[in-house]
Amino acid sequence: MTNEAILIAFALPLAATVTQVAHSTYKRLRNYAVARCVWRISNLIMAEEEPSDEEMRALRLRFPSDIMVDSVIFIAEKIYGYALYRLALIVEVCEIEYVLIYRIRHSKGAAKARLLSKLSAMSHTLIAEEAEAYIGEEDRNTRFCAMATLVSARPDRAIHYIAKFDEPITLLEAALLTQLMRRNGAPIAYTPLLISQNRNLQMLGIYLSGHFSIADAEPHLQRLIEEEDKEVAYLALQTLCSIRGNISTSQIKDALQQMASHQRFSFLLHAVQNCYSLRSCAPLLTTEERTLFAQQINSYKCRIVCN
Amino acid sequence: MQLISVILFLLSLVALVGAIVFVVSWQRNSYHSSLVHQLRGGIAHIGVSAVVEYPETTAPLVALLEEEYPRSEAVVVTDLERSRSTFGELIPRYHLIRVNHSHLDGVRALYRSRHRAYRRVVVVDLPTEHREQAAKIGKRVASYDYTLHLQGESIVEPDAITYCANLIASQHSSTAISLRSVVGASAHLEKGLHNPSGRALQLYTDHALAWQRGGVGVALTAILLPMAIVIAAHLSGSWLLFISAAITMVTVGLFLYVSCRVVTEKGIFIRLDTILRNFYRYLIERVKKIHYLYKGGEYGNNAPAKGISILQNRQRNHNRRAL
Amino acid sequence: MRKIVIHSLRAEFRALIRGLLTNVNAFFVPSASREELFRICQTTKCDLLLTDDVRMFMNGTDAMAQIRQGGATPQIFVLSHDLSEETVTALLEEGVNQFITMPVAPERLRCKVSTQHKELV
Repeated sequence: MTNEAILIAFALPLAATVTQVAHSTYKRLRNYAVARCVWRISNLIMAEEEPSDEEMRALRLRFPSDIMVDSVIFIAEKIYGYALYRLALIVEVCEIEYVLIYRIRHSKGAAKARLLSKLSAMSHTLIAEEAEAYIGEEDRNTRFCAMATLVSARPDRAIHYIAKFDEPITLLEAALLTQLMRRNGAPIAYTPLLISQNRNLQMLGIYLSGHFSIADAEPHLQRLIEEEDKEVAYLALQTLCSIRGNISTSQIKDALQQMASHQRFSFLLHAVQNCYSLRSCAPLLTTEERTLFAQQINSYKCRIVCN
Repeated sequence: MQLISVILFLLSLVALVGAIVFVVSWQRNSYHSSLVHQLRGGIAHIGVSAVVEYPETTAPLVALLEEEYPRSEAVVVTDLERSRSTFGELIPRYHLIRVNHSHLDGVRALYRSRHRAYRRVVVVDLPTEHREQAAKIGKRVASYDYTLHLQGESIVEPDAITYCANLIASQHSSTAISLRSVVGASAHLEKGLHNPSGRALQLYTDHALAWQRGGVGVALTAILLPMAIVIAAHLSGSWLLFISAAITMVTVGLFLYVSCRVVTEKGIFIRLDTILRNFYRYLIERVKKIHYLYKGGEYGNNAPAKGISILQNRQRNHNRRAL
Repeated sequence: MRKIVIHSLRAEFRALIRGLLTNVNAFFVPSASREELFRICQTTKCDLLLTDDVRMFMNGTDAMAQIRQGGATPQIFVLSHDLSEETVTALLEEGVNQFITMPVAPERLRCKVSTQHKELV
């Protein structure tokens, strides 16, 4: 009885130690396998001749599907251009998409969204029809990931898909879509996006202008600050600040007055970060905010005392 | 002995129930958006200032400087007079210079770096007597409107600030958010000073955000506790103690399961230690909440304000679950 | 033969860069940690360092001095997703020779590596 009792008591520390060792070993081996897979795939991509089907299928036999999916996604995030075409070929011959699609069909909720986002991260996905089936899903994340997959698979129709998406996209989603479109080499003209009446396209245009610091977008951003959609107006204002545009206009003053105090404070800090002077911002701010603005600017300076 | 057995049995039952509730809460927050982990690089104007209050070593600062997110900052609040041997070297290392701080009450000095490479380092020399002001001073000094507060020797996860920034960007900008980790060390993300209503959407995440540095005493104690109870049970011959040992093993086993599921590079004992400390804080919070509710009051910043619509409450609950 | 050091804390990144530069005529030395990198730079004379470890140059450990010690001046190319002006300028101020934004075109990377060292191709 004593022996059994003590054995049972030792079970927990033993379990913890074994788990620790097993987990770290598994991670090390998996990272090594992914690295090997990445190396092999990148060798095939950079080969002078187009890789043969046998060479590509040999890859599939050597590595499990999980490893191949992670390797392809890793490579797809890091490269662009003609190499992506070769990567898409490998994905098609090794049927990696089918593995993901099979899993997507048999999952639900957040797991489905997660797998769809993996599918979208693999560029030039040839099976876009599968993603179309999930455009009408109940879960918002799943719908967005399905749309992102379509944007990735058919970059020529990306704007159409984004405009048709039935929910207002957030800044994060705009950033993800930009990342996908950039990688696929889709030409993204910011002006048609900014002048569009579609809210999602406006968000995308605003994000692009800020991300690439497009100074020429200033007039369009000034116009968007007067939009009815407060989210769009606020982001347009922040982006105008990022590209160091003129913020001393009466329209901006009116727009700021309608914003919540935490948004005003956020704008104030952003203006300080972008080196606006107190004089240029003073007409927009209340007395208290002007004091805070001046204090924040001064905290970046040191006083030199000369006698 | 019988009394001790009964007390131990009851305590172990309470711990088990608490652990089950904790694990369910963690599970609900596990269904986080996959999008938050996908983005590479910074997002527009969103920035996060991490405020570390009175760390004992420079390790929390070094961990923060490893953060990839470009619009981030590390504000270290410390008493330089008392910890000159530890923190004095920061000034030459990061080329810090004293800058104006006259608007900060109680602050002895404020340091920023003159080098662009170290622009993210800010050191606030605040005497220990003003310790309770540290969080507020950190917010005043912060360059960004969201602050991630870290207590003592909390070491951030490498992608914690990127995760926080992506999470902020995934919400609509009119919503101020407040974020806590269910499993990590005491790290709290919140909007800066100018949120006068104090109302924010309270979110919980299964991302650790930060880990407690230091020993794994709590974890080892928890793991060895069942063994101690078994030995006591064997010596006393009390069946109740054996049952208590079994219940305690199940409780610790549950936390071990959560530790295994958390995605991080940290060892399992550190994870377990931090999660157990978090559980202890979680229990205290629950007890306080029950106490306030019993007294008929409203608990914390996230109590629904008068007049808030049912729709907003429902949306808030939905967001909390969805995250 | 020229020596190119590929430094990253991630094995996949090292493998990717090695694979993309597969036809480049050089001796490649992988480095998995910062200590290993400094040791390599101390013991051997490397000509080019390719890395994605941006923070190494901005965390106060004076990595640049460790890499360029004993009179060695390897070219340093940093590859990163981070597009922010402050990061790029800070790195160039610290002495990094080239900042390459990701995603990167493999042909462009090879061209940059070979332009710096014409005898590599």
